[in-house]
Amino acid sequence: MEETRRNFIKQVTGSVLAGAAAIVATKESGASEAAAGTSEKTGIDRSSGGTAKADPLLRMEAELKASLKRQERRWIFVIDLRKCTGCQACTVACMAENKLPPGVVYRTVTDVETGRYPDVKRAFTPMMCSHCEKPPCVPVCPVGATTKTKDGVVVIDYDLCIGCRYCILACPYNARVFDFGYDDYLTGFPASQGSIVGQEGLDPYNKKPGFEYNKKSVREKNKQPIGNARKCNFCLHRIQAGILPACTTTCIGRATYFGDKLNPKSLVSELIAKPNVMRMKVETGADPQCYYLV
Amino acid sequence: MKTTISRKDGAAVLDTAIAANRAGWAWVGLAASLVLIIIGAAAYATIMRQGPLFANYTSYVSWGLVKSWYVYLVWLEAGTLITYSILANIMKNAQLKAIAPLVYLSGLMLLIAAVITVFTDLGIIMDTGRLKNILNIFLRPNFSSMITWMVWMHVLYSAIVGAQLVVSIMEKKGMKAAARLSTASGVLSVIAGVALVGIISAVFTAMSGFSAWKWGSLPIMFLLSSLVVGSAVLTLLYTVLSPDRHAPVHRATLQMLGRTTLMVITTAAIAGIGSAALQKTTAVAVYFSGASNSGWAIAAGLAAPIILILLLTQSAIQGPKERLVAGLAAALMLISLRVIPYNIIINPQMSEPLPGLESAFLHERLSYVYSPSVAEIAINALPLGIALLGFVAGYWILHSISPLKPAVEEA
Repeated sequence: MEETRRNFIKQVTGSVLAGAAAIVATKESGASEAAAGTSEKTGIDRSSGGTAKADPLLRMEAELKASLKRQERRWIFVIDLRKCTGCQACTVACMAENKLPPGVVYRTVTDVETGRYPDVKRAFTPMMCSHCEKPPCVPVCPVGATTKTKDGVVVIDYDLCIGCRYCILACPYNARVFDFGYDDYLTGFPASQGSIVGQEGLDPYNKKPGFEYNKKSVREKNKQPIGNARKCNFCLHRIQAGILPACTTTCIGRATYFGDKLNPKSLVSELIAKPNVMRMKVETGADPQCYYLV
Repeated sequence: MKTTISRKDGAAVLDTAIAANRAGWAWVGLAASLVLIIIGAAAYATIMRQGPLFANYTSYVSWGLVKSWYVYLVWLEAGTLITYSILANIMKNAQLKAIAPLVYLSGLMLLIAAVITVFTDLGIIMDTGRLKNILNIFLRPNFSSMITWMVWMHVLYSAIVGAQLVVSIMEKKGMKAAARLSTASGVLSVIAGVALVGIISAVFTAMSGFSAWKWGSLPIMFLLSSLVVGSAVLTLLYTVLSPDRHAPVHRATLQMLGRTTLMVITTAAIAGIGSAALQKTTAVAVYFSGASNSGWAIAAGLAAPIILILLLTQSAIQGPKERLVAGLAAALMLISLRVIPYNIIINPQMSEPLPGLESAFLHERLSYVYSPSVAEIAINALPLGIALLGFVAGYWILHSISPLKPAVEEA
């Protein structure tokens, strides 16, 4: 009896340990495959409703780091509209990451209702700079303040921008906004003790510098970027450090994908090879690099 | 029937007219310009205090009244000078030649007003950072941008108009070389004026996002519209300030100017309707839909001082028909301001919203609704006042440095 019990415990313990080891091994294997960008099982299957594998964020981050070591890369966004819940977490994450003042928003989520009752549908569409291949905003800038990097990121040099707003008009996606110079979201709020949203509570955040374009800067009246055009820059300061853009990591539905289009084995390359891919306003000839899965 | 007056008559007319009215005109002009400058300065104080927040334009309607005002001022001066150069320098109309310095002075002042308008819109006067940046348009220009071409052409055109002003003064002094230069500079001025208006229209047609601006005929419509307002300005200038307004040829010249204006309006209407019908574009509907009515308020606001000036100076105008002509010309300028630049520049931005974008993130600056603020309207008084002051001073100086010699041809 004793022996039987001992054997039973051995067997159970052995099975549990073996199972745990197998799970760990699978996870490690998945992660390493993801890092190498060779897995056909991870990430992508989740997007199509398949078996849940490793979080696509892990794969995208590994791919991001791998791409940073490559000589050429081309960053793109892929948005799976079927997964977007319209929660606007990406909008908030972007604003917090880039310390955007009121009136300035880089990423919005439109909520359009179509059809007639009872066949009504709501479509959530995240909108941001498409970092077009032929960006209409770049050639129109009279001082060359807007340029396109070799990585395909359309950037603005705030020190050069004269605030003419021509680029804002030239963008077919309304992705650019003007910084009118609002202070912060707390202006006018009571400085109440203990209040979560009171000025005292959040002033330390407001006073901290931003790191947009990898430049440490504190917002000051009548100084750039006030009076400049602004837009999404793929969180350049994050991706250069090997971190995914804030909107991508914050997306609760994992609807936002970011990666290198020039890496044929990357998750985004796999996604844009699918037949259900569309892009907005391609007729303008801008060749937008934001892809939507529909 | 071609009507000409002798050199002696012309000189006498010019002498009498300007000597009799110079002081009166100067005081009226000075008072009006000071009022405009005070209004504009008050608005400018708001800009200094509020920065870009002074204006009501938004991120989605980012070119508002001040940008429209710039385009309108360029139309006024380019249209005036193109019409004038064709009639006076190329077709050699003697009566119009007599007001050459005044026309060039007006053109130059309108150009200066346009530059000040752009500077106030960019807010670069208060911000030294951007003031330095604006020099980059000259120091490190991006010639793929139509705005760069516009700025460079504006500067070149100002130089040409300035040169024309000098040439016209030299011509009045009787220099023979100046007469030849005046024809050449007239031709050059027409080319440069057409180019400037064309480039400004290209600023809009270069944008892919707005179907209303992708109108193939937009450059032609810009030019014709410019000629409409330009011929109205020329008619007004000639009616009110011409030295021969007490001479018999005055009415004949006015009739000629009236016919020219009507011809240009007819051509613009035919071209507009024709090209709209051919292209089946909704652009025309956008232009005339009048998404905001504030344009009428602005036109009405501007009408008040113009009517006041016309009333104050009516004794200087020959007769009731001439007064009617002056009134019609002023009205045409104001209607053009409402109908043309306001609608062409502002309406398309308000008329083509991306579905759901406005409600995606609620903020007053993320809106497709635009109505100019009081400061935005009032700030336009500053460049107008400075230009008027410059015109009054220039008018006075012109009279002082240039002995009144006729520009009219001998019979």
